Amino acid sequence: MANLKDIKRRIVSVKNTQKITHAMRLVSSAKFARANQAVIAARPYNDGFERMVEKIVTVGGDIPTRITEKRGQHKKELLVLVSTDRGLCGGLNSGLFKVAARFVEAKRQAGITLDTVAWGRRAGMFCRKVKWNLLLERDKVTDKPKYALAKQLADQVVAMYLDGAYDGVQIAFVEYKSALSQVPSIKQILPVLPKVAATPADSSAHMLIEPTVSQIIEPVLARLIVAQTFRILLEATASEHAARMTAMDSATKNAKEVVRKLTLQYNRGRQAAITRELIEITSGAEAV
Amino acid sequence: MTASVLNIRILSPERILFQGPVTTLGLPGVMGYMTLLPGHAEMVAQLDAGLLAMTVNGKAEPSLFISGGFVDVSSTGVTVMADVIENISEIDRERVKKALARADERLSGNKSIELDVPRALSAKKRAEHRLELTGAGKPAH
Repeated sequence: MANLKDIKRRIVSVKNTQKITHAMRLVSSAKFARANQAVIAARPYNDGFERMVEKIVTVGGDIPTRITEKRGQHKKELLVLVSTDRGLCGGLNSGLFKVAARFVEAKRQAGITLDTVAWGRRAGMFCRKVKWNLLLERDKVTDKPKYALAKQLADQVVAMYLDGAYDGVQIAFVEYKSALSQVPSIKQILPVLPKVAATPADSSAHMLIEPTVSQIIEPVLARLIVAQTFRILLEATASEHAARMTAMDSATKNAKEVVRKLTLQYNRGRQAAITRELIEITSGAEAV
Repeated sequence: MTASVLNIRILSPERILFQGPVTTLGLPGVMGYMTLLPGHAEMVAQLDAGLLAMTVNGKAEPSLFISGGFVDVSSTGVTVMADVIENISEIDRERVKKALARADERLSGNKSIELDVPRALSAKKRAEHRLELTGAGKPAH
């Protein structure tokens, strides 16, 4: 039987940890609510923009631009990893890295090498650990992301794509489905693959495009990339807080369970000590 | 189409600024300022930095500053999408004045070697339109 004092000390320590995880859960749920709101607020613009691009491409046909043309000569792609800066969010990052590693391996077998860009400290740490070719590292991308940040990051990636010898740019991030479900996924952002409507609406045949399709297409697609990047940042942020909330919730529950078990053990130990003392007293009395 | 109102949505990447029916919508198109009326043909147009003006039943609504973007006119409604959209209360006049002075300085100073003229010009334009909007915000009489 463990020493009663030790058990008491452990109970206190677990209770303190529980206070911390509980507080973290509360903080994350507040942050999550805000991040979720931001994801929802960005949806109308995103959907509206995608619909507009679809219309332009459907009417305008296949217009070659530097960001839509397919390349295949370089055998090299760029992978952007979007992670959190801090841990304590369950298997969020490790799940993402596993998917990314599988992707890199598949590409490698197809004879394509990948350079990486890390958005988030954990991604940088992971890339260094597995010795991927890490070109750039940025932290604080999932700290209340603003559109201006998405623009900056997207422009940087587009510039790298246009200058560099890459066939494509992929972004690996944790897609936000709901508070309870976040799925690691990989999305191609370059070259842009605009959707074409299967059956163009009759009215769009005589749709006006101002100034002209060939002039509008590049700025539109450039902005589409920014919008997609922004959405990815917002989703990654919401996923992070949702995952941390869940992780801290189960940590708090687990601490509660540990305290319950330790308390039981403590009470049993105390009872045993009392019984032992009583036996000693009675057997002492008998001996007299 | 015989609609008597335009159903418009004004969207920035971060929020919806306006949503509802209007009778006219003025927009700074890259090929010139245009005013959309109900029943407009389907169109997609690129927008410049400038002011967006709406009227509802002949009454002018407060104008908005937009930083340039796109408008999508379809049979169901009009969607304006721009990177930055601000109303009067969000514009910091002092900051804008400084931005304007900076742009002017860049454009007038011939000594600078690398001058991104289009960038300075668009900065100047944005500042001017912001000032125009806040100027119009003052009581007219």
